[in-house]
Amino acid sequence: MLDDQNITDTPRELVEDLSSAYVLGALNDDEAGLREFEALVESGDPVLAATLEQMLEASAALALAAPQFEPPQSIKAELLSRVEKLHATHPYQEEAVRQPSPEAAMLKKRTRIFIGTSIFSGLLLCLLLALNVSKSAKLDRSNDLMRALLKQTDSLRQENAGTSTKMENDSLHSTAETGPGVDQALSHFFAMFSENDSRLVTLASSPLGTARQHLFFSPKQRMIALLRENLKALDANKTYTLWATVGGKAPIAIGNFRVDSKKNSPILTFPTKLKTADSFSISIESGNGGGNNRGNVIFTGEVPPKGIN
Amino acid sequence: MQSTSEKLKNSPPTDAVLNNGEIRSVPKMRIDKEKSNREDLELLALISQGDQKSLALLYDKYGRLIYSLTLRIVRNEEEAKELQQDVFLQVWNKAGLFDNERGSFVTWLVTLAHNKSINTLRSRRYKKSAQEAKQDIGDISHEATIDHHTPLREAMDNDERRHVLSALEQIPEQQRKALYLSYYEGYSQSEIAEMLGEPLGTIKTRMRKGMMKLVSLLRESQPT
Repeated sequence: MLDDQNITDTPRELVEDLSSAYVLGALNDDEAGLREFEALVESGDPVLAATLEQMLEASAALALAAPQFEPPQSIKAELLSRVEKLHATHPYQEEAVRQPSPEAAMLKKRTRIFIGTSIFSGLLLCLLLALNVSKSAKLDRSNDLMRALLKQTDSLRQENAGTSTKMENDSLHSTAETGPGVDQALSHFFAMFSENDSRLVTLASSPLGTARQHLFFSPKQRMIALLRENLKALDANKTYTLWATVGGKAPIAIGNFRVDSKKNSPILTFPTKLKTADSFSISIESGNGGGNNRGNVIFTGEVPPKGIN
Repeated sequence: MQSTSEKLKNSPPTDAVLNNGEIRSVPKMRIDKEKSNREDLELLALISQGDQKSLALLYDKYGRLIYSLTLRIVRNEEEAKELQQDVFLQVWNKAGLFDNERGSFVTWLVTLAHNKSINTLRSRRYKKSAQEAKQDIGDISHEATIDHHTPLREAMDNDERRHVLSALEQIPEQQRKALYLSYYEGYSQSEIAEMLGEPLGTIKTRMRKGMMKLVSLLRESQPT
């Protein structure tokens, strides 16, 4: 998806500079350079994409220049042994944890959407103040969160403008295409902030890690909330699945969602039975969203050890 | 039965008709890579269905490449063993999610192994001195291949490796050094600049020119 603000005016040398440094792993401690590169990648510029592909191939060829050594046989034996143990619960074979139909709840709570919006804005302000004065080591992460939340707020305000009656005809797709309404999603989202076990998980785009997406996970609330901001660029005609991994075992499907249109809540919520998780990822469904899908992973990220509070 | 690799080795170069009607020979190495990638995708499809034999085949094909890379970077056998397992376990876990449109499997596999190795290296803050690193510049293009592998795949690997080493030798030493310190030693651009006593911009330029030269050399002089 091409952005109007693409990099067609960016000097090619800059693209090559950043691409080469990126594939060599030399940008890791250069936060500004990394962000600059990520911004360029997100622009969807075809020149950059082609350059990056060439650079990746060349960097992979560099691996061949290393002195060649035969790996000890014990590695393969142990690998296959571990795989054998995992075989019973092979990746992506687990039954997806499907969302209960939220239609009734949506109808019941639809009228409270404006209340939810107000609470959301209030909490956002409090959160902003709290995080701004803390200046902790998590400042960078918090700033990312703030930016995402501010965008969500703008989006929410726009979507809620005069939509009280329109909502009656809206078919919400927030979770599994039949997810909770905007107000319910927001209620879950607010409740998560009251729990000190909540985790802010930053998902990086896969495989290059050039884009970010934020997710909140609260074991106490048994809820996962996904900010839709960075999902807008995704193909609206496809179905996506949120996965979680626990204890190094096979990924578990949390639920499906779509990113189409203004009908959606800016926050996607997923009820979950998980008490803990190691990582989350988002994949594109290869089929129609059925049970045994193995789409491509487009975002993935590890759960940080401490909460966001 | 003749293996796929053997068939590839014995097959004649394929000709392609260009838009202007000109007939140009398609480099054999490129055909090998495309067929190899198709084989990989077939194995990945089977792995995603829980076929452990396919994982073993994929390991046989790339195990040495990945182990050699990780060992070269972390320079510690135990860590290299762990990384080797991590990488192939990830292949097992993510086989069904691999997106071929984003690049070949081997590129993804090597990038994964490289990232894990560099992370390991940095996490234990293993830093070599600039002098040691400088000493190793020559090693990269002169270290002998250890020929323990017997299948014909070995011959292909060696062809490709010689091709890469030859390309690296054609890159100016300062540029090669910048690539080497970054890719194998895990140093950032600013660290390399400090280590070599050069401006950061100079290091960036060397990396860019070195990589572009490598890309160009790898493309223009395909081995037969």
